[in-house]
Amino acid sequence: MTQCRAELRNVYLNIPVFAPNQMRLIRKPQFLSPVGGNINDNKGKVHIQALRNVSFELEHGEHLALIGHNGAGKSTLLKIISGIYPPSAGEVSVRGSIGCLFDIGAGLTPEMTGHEYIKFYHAVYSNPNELLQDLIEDITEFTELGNYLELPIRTYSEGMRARLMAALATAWRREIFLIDEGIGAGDAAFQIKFSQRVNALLESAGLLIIASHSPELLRKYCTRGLVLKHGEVRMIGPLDEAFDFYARPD
Amino acid sequence: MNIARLASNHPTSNWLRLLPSSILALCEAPLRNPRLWTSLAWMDIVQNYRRTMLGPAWITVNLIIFTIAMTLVYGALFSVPTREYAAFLVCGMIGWFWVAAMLQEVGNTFLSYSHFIKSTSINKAFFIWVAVFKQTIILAHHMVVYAALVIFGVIPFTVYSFAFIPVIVVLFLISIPLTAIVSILFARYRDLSRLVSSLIIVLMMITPIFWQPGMLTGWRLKFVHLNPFYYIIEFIRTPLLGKPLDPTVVAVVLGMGIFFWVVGAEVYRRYQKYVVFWL
Repeated sequence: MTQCRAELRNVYLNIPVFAPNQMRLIRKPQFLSPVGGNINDNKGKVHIQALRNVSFELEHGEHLALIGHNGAGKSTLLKIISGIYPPSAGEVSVRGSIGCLFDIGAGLTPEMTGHEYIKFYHAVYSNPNELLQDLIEDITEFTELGNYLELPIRTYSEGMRARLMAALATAWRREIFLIDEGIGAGDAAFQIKFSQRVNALLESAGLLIIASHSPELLRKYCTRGLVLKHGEVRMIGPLDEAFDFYARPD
Repeated sequence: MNIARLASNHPTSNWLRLLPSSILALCEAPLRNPRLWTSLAWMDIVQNYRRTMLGPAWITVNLIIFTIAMTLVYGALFSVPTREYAAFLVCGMIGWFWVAAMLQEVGNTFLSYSHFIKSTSINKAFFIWVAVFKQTIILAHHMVVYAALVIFGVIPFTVYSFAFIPVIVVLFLISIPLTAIVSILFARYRDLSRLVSSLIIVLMMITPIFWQPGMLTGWRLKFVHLNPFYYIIEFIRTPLLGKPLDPTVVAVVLGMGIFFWVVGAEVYRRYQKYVVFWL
């Protein structure tokens, strides 16, 4: 197995905001809003400074919790690590295959059947054709959706849809897992089944980074914590210390 | 759960290394994994026609309806024999559908996969190849009408008709960088798609699709000769009509192709990473 590693060195991320007459939207003088990154304007171009001078290293076997209020930059940081966002400055280097447990199934049409979803993700993740049947069997068994997989997603209940997406999100073994918010889905019985599946998957993961507001979830999987505020790393250390730091008033 | 396998990272093969890095960025991943873009394109076409009785056969039916109506009216207006006009119109329309898609539909490539681009780190070049391959599938559906007209003897099939095979290959290759340019521009400048949709009808009318280029004389001929779309239409239409390709048309199309690759590959290399911010 690859010795996984993730290193961010002085990473900045400015997300441009496009809106007609955008200047009028920004009142001066600027105040730092209690949530979110700084809104800056540079020669009429507005951007949100989502991450500022973020540096940290993760070695193989480390499980990191991202802690911070809404808009602190947790999801953005996950997107930088997964390669979805390019850093505006600084360096991001990641060794190991990445699995993202967020936004799966977003944007796909509800007209697609369960089987088509499975085929779609199978193709997207570039898996060999011979493995498709194994994947279908695995997901059919895990989701217990049976014949429903032949029907369009629009006929599914919320819970059924969640089952399918949860199964797809966890169908492939990866070396690094990035998880955003809760990873639970469906009814109580399915929750147990799902958490067993996640545990099996995460046991073999070299690196794990979870962004969440739930201390229980973070305590369950993580040993270290990173506190983000306004896109800046305020502290990184053992999980309990990170929670204490986060709870402290400014 | 023993299905986990990782996509293997192939080392770049030697012949690909000879290409400049900008061109490589646009075609290396799709060439390594053709199954992804071909199957995504087909799934997309099937999705579009979901819950219809005919499914993607509607693409063929659309062209049939259009040809019948236009032949009856315009053939008479221009006093061209019906069979001759039908042949000219169908072959021209097959070309026009491609050109129109390159200006309009492919521009929405990144926009229609936006959720995907925002949630996975999948190489965006795949979506460009998906868009172009979708047009190839649509063209194949249009070719059914062409084949029927050949069988009924409306369109002559000659030795020159075989030129259509390399024409399609060239067309596909030219369309990759063009799609990269158009889809990046459309993602960044939202006014563009509105502008193009208002111009596209005008463009269709001033390009010789319904009328023969020979019908114009004097300075008006410039509408034909300075219109780049005329050359692409002609490039597709001539072999379909079983006539020899004009070397000027081939030269102009190949020239445009080189231009698109130089510009498109560079535009893609430079700007593809920012696309996620524009969606």
